[in-house]
Amino acid sequence: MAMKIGNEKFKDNVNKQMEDTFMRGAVAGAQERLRTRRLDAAEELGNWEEWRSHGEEIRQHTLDHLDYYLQELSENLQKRGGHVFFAATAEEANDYVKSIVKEKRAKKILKAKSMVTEEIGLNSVLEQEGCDVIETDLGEYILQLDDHDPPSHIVTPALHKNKEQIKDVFTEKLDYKLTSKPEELALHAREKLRQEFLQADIGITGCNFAIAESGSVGLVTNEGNAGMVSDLPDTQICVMGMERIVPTFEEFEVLVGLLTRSAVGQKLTSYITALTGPRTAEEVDGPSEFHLVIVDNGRSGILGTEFQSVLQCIRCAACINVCPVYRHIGGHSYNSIYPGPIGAVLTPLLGGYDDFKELPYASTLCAACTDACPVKIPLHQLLHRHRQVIVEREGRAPISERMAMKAFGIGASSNPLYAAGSKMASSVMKPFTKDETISKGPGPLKAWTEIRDFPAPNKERFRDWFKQHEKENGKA
Amino acid sequence: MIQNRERFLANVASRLSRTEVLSERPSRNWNYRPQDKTLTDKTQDELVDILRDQCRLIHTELIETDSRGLPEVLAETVDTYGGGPLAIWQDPRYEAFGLREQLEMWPKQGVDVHEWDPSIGHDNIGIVEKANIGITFSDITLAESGTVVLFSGEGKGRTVSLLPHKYIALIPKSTIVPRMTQAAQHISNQVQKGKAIASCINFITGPSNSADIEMNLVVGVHGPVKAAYIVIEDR
Amino acid sequence: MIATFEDAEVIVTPSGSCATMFKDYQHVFQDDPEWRPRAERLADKTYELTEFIVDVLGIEDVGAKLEGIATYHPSCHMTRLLGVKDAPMKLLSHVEGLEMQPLPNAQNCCGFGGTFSVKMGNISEQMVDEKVDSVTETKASYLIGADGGCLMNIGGRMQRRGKPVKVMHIAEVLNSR
Ligand code: SF4
Repeated sequence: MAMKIGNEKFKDNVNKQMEDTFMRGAVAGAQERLRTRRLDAAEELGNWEEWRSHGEEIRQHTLDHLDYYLQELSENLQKRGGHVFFAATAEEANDYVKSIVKEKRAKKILKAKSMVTEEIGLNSVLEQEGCDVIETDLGEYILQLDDHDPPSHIVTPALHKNKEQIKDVFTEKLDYKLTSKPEELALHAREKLRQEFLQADIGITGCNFAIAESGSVGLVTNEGNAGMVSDLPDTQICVMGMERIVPTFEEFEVLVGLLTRSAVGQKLTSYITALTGPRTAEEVDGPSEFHLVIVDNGRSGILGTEFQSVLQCIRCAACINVCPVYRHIGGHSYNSIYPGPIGAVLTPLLGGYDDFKELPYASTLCAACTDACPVKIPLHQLLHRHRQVIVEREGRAPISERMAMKAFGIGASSNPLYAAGSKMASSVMKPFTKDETISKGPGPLKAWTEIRDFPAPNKERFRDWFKQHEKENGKA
Repeated sequence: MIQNRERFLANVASRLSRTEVLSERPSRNWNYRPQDKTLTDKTQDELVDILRDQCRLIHTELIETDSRGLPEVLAETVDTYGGGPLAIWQDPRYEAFGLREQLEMWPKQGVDVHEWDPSIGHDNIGIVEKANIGITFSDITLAESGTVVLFSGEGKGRTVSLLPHKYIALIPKSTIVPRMTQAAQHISNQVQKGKAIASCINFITGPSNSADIEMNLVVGVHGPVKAAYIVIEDR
Repeated sequence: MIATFEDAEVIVTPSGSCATMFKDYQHVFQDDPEWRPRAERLADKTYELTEFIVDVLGIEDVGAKLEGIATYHPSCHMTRLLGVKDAPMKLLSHVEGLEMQPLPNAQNCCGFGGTFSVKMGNISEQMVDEKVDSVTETKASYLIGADGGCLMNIGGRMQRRGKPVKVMHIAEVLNSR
């Protein structure tokens, strides 16, 4: 699986997903819980806006000096005996990992949840090599068992599944005999995976934030699976998106706090681990070999452009959890492993407009995402900017959209025209009007009136009413 | 070994409108520093109060005692968690905190104790994996989040806090700081002084958990299913 | 647009979206030496109606009267982009005879979104339906809002679904005697 998760058209996807009533209930419920938790966590911390601004300035500073910090990171990790591979493309990254697997003759590979490895499609590459690749995050594990069902959320990937469905998957694939109680399901997964942990040859994790000053990789989880993956196998590989880096531990702390509060409303998650190279000569647990793969895969193309701020993202999913569109269409509709507002901005940049041109339109520009983002990415503005780019440079907006934009542009651009236009509106619409409402409109109004009535333009305009009013009061 | 760096970073630099890779450390002049005023005015006693409140939220039992009461309290806690086998670090602090006697007593009562032993290498892991309870000291303790910070090292195996079914952290009151800010500053200072930091720094906040199934919180997934903190008030 | 309105002393608009747009021109013309200052001047004197009444005129009780139960939909642009959150509620709380009921999930967009309502019609429908259901849940007989677009959207859908709720712009409510 790579970033793109299917070949269906956006519209077809949406229609299919909207029929999934369980998914929609689950998403709505999850949104409510996560939203409240996030707001409570922010309020409890205090000065939330100041924290956001600090998060934003840290991310901006790091991106503006990304070449320096990546250089520093790689130097420091090398000093601690780690290997660093810079991969310009997904293919380069996958080939490098493959070469380690071959060298180690590895059979069993453990993974902790990582969006970037999903993005580059690492699992399927390794499976083709004959490896047994096991996802250890509970949500990812469930999806993997269910014949590689794609993730629908970047923090809780199996959000779209209910416990009955999960039980069925366990029964079918793991010979599970207990109930659909989450505790029992989780315990079963624990027991199954414990055995795998102890036998694995290689552990692969993502990287929430690398720390340049010390050459460390920071991992954030609740389950403790990243610890297992990094402590037990003899070889560890971390794969990071090249922008996921901070200058020092001080900034690491700030961003981790923003991440855990925004993602799950916790002050910190249960396990936050900073790994610096392989185990030392005196130590006996931890990997003896440590590799860091730094992935570009289209990110540098965003640097230095008007979309650069999207690289500030810390993958907390707060924007997804407040998005009213995601709420109704779910994660799979976006056809990308990155759904919701962040996905609608990032996916077309990484994957191109050809496959993902509808995504920037899957938003009302209500700005709930921008409001929620802990590092202040102006998501709704970037979505709007995408639309402009599509219209201007690619000429790909549907005709109705272009006409509507244009018409408003001309109509409102001059004083007399605006006056004439607003005067005309009521008479133009007259043939469609019944009892002050329009139930079947022409042109773009048709789509509107398919689902709701449209009020007829007021016969009395405010401008006229006001003049009349002033006259009556003897002011005109 | 570092591979492909030059080409990669040259591209990044050029995207940032630079002709070559920036080689001088950029100065970081932050306009905001909310961390400097978050919980920094609290006394050590107030921090214990904050830690106590937070432990309720993270499904962690907090027990307060002093160094005299410690052996007994620890023995009781081990009892309520179902006894041995136990796994501990090879760490002079157990002795310094008066636990040597208790550690010797347990085996006589049929409670196995495995002290991390670097000389047996990988075999430690198999033993620790079978332990019922892992017991370690906290190197730094974060009041706000209820977090114990553990630095790995020769006698301080990282798996002792992770693989056993339950986990007990021993927290000298003097290790308690307001929040992660202070721990991060401490680590960053070490780095700046050129000291090698631990290869694995764990920030552990209560038992492991997951909300991946219908957003229901399940406590105890891959790591410990239960956790207790014992605060030692006079140390 | 700027030329149309720039001679006015202050610009008060009965719509959060419009006020946002007026305030946004300065960003549109960021690099334009002639239009940018004009856009900035325009932005500085533009107010959303309730914000103008409460924050500029300093009035919270306009002496309006309206009997019944009502709920208020805080539109996205007004609350988030413009940051006007409390003014409408302050004004409504002083309307004699009006009982305000909180709207569940009030913060969620009604699904209007300009061209979105047409281009992504089916998603928009689900969104507005949820909003209509929330309004119905409050048992309100009036739905009050401060943004024409949202009101047109929710009102249109309520009418189509035969819900007997009257949609009122907050200006109409404040003008009721
Ligand atoms: S865009 Fe912002 S809110 Fe969305 S995932 Fe990224 S950091 Fe979180």
